[in-house]
Amino acid sequence: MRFMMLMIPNIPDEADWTPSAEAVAAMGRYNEELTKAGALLALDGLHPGSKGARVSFAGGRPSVTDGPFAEAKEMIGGYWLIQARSKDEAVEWACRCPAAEGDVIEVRQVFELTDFPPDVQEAAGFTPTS
Amino acid sequence: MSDAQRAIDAIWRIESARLIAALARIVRDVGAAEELAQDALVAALEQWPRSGIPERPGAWLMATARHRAIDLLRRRSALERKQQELARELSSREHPDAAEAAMLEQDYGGDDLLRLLFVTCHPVLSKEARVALTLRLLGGLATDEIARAFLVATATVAQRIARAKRTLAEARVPFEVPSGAERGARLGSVLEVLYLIFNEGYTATAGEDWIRPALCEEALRLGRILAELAPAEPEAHGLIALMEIQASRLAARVGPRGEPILLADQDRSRWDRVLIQRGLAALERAEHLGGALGPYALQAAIAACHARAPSAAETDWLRIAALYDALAQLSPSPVVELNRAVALAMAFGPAAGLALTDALVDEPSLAGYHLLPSVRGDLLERLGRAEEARAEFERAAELTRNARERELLLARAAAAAAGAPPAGAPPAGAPRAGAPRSDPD
Repeated sequence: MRFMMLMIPNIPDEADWTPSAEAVAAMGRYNEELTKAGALLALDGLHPGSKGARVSFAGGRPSVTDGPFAEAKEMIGGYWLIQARSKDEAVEWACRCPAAEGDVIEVRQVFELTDFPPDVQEAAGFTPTS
Repeated sequence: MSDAQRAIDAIWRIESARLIAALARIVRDVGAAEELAQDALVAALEQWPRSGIPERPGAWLMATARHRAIDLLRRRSALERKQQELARELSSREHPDAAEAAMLEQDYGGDDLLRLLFVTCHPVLSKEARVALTLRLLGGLATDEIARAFLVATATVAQRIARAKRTLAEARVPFEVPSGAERGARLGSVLEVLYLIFNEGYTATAGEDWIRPALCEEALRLGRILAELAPAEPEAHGLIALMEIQASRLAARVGPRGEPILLADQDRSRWDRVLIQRGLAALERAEHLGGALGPYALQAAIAACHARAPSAAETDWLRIAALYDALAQLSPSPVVELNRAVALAMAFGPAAGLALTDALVDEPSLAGYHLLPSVRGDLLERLGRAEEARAEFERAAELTRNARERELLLARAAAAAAGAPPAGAPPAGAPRAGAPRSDPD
């Protein structure tokens, strides 16, 4: 199974934030550990939300808001995509992250098509071939 | 299970292989190492629910197990003294003080894991034993999980593992990564074991459904670890490249009722892009190490041709044919020849492929292999030799053990006899249902 570990850092979104060399080195060691365990599939860090945009859908049409966002308390700062044998194992990996005070990591399992009921699979084009 | 127990279970999954590996270096016996690691787990299960999980659980387990390992070495050496064995007959590495010193210097880590992998895949063991012991000690799978994966009795697996540990001890297999001339052959055995585990999950010959993707994932995990620990070995990258790319098709290669979908007919949007990218990157690493590609890297390069093609019709068959030429020279086999024939037919037309299969007709190892007549039927049909095509399809239908495939082959035989392609046949040029996989898909 796969899990996404979503990092929600404890930094104000509009802050001109750069991590310390120490923190970067610690995170590098953590990523190395995930790699050496054969668990890491992919990871990325994201530019701040203030440089991003939000596309919201209301009344049947998309509307675009550029960052920064007024009510942006919990912004995703990056993610790891890992392979784990259980949710507990994914959670244990998250516990080992050298995160900063107040950071939050949300652990979510990635859907596989076979997690869906048959009618949904069929709607996704997964129909029997003749 | 309580929260603490579940957390301990997860920690065990992550730490057990490294723990056993480090202990095996100390006590020079994988069986004893596993027992010591289990003892440490039992201690954790007793203490952690009360005291809380330590900040560095892996280090806690290691420290606990180390103490017990040193006790074991002391008891061993006391016993040996009692038996009046001269202390100087003990090799220095078996001497507790030396061992203790070495342990303190050397933090446990990847090197021990690599040694453990070479030992569990040692050629002194049977293939079944290598697979079982690797899954047990490096995969952290329980005996009954291994048994369910391979559809054998739990007692059989338990016996297999116990015997394997005994064999390793009796053969005094050193706990080391072999060097020199031995290294190549021993690495070959490691690669073979990992690919066997992968294929057991991938080809679904046996076992319960849930365990199959688990076996593939475990083989991938171990393959990635191997490539990290032996980064200078091109074939370590070749194998993981092959497995990542093949695994990228897992969701696309089986229909909702469990029926196989051939590579050419797969919905490529269902291929896993993350795994494809990882596979292509690993293949690049194998190529950058220089030298001629080995058999795993060559198969990965063939799989990569398919992975890069936006559609079956856009496949680079010229390159695939060239790669099969190289593979046939490096590790010739009738099955490789058959796949090469398909690639040649796709690249240069059915006559070129058919000529190659003519040489395989009398090959004893392919005598019961339905894909040979199936390929020949396909090529003959494309050459307009309908009557011969019909005979080949019928022969293939007789040989296949898959009922659905038999139906398809009989339909193709009937269509060939009638001189028309069967209803719903794919466009000319694309390999049809019943045609062989042109690579291990």
